[in-house]
Amino acid sequence: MNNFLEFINNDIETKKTTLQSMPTNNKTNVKKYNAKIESIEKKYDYYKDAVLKYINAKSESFECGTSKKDDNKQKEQLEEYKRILKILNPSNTYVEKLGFDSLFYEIHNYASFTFEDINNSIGKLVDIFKKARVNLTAEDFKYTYFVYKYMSEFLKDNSNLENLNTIFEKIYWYNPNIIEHIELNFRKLIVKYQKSLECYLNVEKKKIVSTNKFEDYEDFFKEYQKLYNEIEKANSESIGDIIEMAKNNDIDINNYFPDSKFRITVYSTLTINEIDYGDPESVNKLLDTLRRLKNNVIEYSNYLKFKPLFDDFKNTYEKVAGVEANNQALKKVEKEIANKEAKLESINKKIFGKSGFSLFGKKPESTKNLKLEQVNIAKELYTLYYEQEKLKFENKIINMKKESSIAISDVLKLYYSYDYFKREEIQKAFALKEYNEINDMCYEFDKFAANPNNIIVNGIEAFNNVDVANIIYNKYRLENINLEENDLDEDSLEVVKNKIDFMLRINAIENSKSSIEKIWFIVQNEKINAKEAKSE
Amino acid sequence: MEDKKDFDISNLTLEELIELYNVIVSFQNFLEESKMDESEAGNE
Repeated sequence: MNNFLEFINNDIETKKTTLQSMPTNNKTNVKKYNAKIESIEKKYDYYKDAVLKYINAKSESFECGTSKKDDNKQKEQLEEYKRILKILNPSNTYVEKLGFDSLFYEIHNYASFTFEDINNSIGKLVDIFKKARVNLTAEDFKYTYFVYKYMSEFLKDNSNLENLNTIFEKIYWYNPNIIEHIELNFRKLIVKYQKSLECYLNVEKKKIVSTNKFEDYEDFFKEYQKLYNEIEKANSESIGDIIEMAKNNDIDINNYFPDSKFRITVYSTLTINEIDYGDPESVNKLLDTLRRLKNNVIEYSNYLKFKPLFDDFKNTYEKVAGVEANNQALKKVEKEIANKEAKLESINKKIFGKSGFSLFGKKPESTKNLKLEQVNIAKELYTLYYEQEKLKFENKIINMKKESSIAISDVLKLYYSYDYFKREEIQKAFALKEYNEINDMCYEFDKFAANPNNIIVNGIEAFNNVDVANIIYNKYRLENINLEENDLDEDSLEVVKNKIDFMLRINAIENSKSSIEKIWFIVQNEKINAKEAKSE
Repeated sequence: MEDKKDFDISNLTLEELIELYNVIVSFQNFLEESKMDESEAGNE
């Protein structure tokens, strides 16, 4: 007998015949018949166990292990590179580079946070000054009487949440905008200590340049790109990942066999003119084109995802005022801020001169009125500061427009550099309300903006209507890829990506120690084990 | 036909191995279904 499979097939036939020929007309014969079945079952349990053991061992020998991923050291280095890029970023100011704007956004949206979170953010703001050797004291927080009272407690060595909460409770009912006014005070302080903060930044920059041995931002950006691509490569789909996907039913390995209908269809519809899949040169050329197309498809799908933001940017800034008008508006706001802050200061002198530091005891009526007046002025200042920031940001855009046309890549860089306005714009463009939703979207945006390999966005003008799909479609038609225009519709992009992944996986399998058959076998073994576990 | 205590399946292809398992399982199911209830059988 050639092999055991043949033996089993014949044996089963024989045993079936034997059983069929056994009499079962009475209890004794049925007993004998059942006993025969049990003896056969025993034998077949033994066979099955042995076969299972063998299949398991063989399948295990085909496993490739997962690829080397989650290299934390590299990822940490990439995060450090991002921090460095932020510091070296030529587009933003020391406010953004030092992370003030991100913290201001949190404080600005204090309703989405706990009391503890807000205090942590205030602590982080104080720490940034500390790094720049500016040790803030209670004296720095005489913006309003209430801010002074709260921050005096906050800056105490033995300050704790409980004490802060007690004083916050008291202040809040007099001045519900206290947190906004703390933000204002910090905004004033970053102007007051601008020199120290910029000096600290310069020292940091020098340190970075000497440690990393590069010449300028562009030079460092190349290093960042290199590391980014190394991590991308290490995280790209490996043969181990393909096996895992097949085991988890994320892909159907049956589609990958050369004679599968699916594979034949993909091969025959992928290119405009048929290529010789037996010729390595033709296949490599096709794969190279597909890899580029995949990157473009991912980039394009990111572009579509953030299109509401780009559209809103276009609508808001297409007809923005000229430099002069904007500068005048900025000067006007700055003058108003200066006037109102001078007024605040003069009231401060009166309050602190008269009442000392006990806030809630009996005070002369005039002091009470002064405090209320302060709260009202601070409220106006809050709006003015926002206007000032907005005008500065607009100025940036006006200047960019003046220098050259603005591409989508510039919009990405702009919002990547200005965290506060990015968050605000995302909130507006996507009509988001929940802080976590905004945060998630910002994370996605930053991921897109920080990709050094973006190409398409460099050519899309922000203030023109460009048919990006058509550009991609034409490019790849020229490279013999059978793309249809509707393949690049938002809903169809995933299909194109899946088709490319399918082709790339076939190549990965064929160039590995594994094979489609071996992966199929691993999958079958997985199914068998699941079935066996269920029947136990 | 004799039973096989020591059998060699190393010469089977991957497809045949899975087929072998399925054939055995399917026969085991057949055996289970073929069992008869002794209490329902008639007396001699």
